[in-house]
Amino acid sequence: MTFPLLRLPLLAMDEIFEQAQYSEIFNISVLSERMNRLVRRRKFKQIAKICYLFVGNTMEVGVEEHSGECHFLVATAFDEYANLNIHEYKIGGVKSNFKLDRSASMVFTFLHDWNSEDLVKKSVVRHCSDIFQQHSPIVQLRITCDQSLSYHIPIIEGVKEMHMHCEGGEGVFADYASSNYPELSCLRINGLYRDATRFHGIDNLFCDQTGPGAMDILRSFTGRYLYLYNSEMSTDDLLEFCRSWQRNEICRNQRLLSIQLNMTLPIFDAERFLLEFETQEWDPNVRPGGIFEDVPDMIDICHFNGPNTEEFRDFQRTDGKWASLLVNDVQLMMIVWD
Amino acid sequence: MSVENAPVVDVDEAAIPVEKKMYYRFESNDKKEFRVSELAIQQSETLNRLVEAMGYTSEDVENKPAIAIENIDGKTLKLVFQWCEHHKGEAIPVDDGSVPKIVEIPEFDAKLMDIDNGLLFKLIWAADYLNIVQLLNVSCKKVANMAQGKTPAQLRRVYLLPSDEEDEAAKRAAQEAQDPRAREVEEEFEERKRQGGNSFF
Repeated sequence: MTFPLLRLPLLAMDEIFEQAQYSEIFNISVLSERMNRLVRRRKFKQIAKICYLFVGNTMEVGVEEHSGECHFLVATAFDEYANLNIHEYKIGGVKSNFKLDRSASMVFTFLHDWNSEDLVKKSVVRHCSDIFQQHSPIVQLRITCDQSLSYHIPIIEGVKEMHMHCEGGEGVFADYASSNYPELSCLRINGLYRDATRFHGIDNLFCDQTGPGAMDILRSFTGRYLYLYNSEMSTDDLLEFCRSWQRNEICRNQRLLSIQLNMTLPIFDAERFLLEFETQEWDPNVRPGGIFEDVPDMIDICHFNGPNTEEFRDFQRTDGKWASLLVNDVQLMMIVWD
Repeated sequence: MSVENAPVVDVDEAAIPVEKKMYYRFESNDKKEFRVSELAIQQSETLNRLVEAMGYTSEDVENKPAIAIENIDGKTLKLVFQWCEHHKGEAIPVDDGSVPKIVEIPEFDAKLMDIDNGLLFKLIWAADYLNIVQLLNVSCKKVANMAQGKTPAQLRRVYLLPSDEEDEAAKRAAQEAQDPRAREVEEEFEERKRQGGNSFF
């Protein structure tokens, strides 16, 4: 059964686009210049975040609404049989041939041939940006790839949050992130890095494989939320950090610090740390506590129970700011109160 | 058509309060007449304003001719008024764009809209013309649902969406229909260019 959509009044057409799924909007928008113009009348103000995900040679785009609900938008991939049963669609102003593949979850992937991978990815980014980013939502980039970053990953404008995941990538990730995306506010990387100053200006930083460079990061970090996993830090390192913070010399903007220590290296003695660094029990009259807001989801604080417990010890900075500290053999967590 | 013979929209009489309420009479473009309660009319911003402006009394409603709705046929108008009667008294949704719109089709509406696409098309036009917000929402939702699980090529077929080339051809045809002489002049000019002429005149 057919329905003459274009013969409806404009208001009704707008209403239909308002109620269609994002992926359906995308699929309609690639059919012609006219359809592209029509769907762009919808402003998509409910989109809080648009996420570009690159895994190997596949690309996926999704959106997150202000309500936290996430929706699939479009996916592309290379396929050696992409030149069979093809259709021509205009994406990002460029006409290309695609074969459509439907997954079990009714999600379509635009399959392209090997030669057009770079062009297709750039076109999809441009297309999504034109339609879904008119009101400037947060742009998030997630990359999972080999350490040489050999797959075509276009540079995307306005990226604020980035998550790079790779097996064995050394240095290249932090360099790639800071060179191409100097405006990042949130970065999560699992590779090692060469230069901690690369993280300067990032508000939320999550390093999955921090290694021996944890102190370098702590000395140069200017943001608010810092997660250092698999850190190689000694008791003296952590004492030095806490004393420097107390003197207001480093991490002045810090709100949350979570250091997970590399357990295979027993160089941290929690008991000695607590003996040598003076703290006091939590007193709700002195430090009332609080909650965290606006922490990007890639900075996972779900496991965190809250600081108002006996496990946390309090101490004060020279300017009067209070901090709570949780220390044991495998971690140090610090929360700074406003 | 006389008032007595006018088809009346199915209304649950028991649900009508005892107090006397006014029933307006409307006539479709194919001369079908309908009696619709004052409360049901409030679902339509257009009709509500119209009857307010007319300021009819109960006697006027009975004695004066039915209000003509010239753009809508009887079959469509019957659906519209059935919907209005069923949803009378319900709040009219306000969409200020501040929250994402979530529209669900109630069972009654789903049954009402179990119609062919031609009639659904007319129903949407009517809901838009009469400014019945929630009817427009649910009927558009039904059309939006047609896109589920479809490839772009399938969407093109379902929604009859032309390609750029077809749009271009239609535009040219429309221009030609509007001014055939302009096209002739253009063709003549092209022909002279092919023949090597430098000047058209």
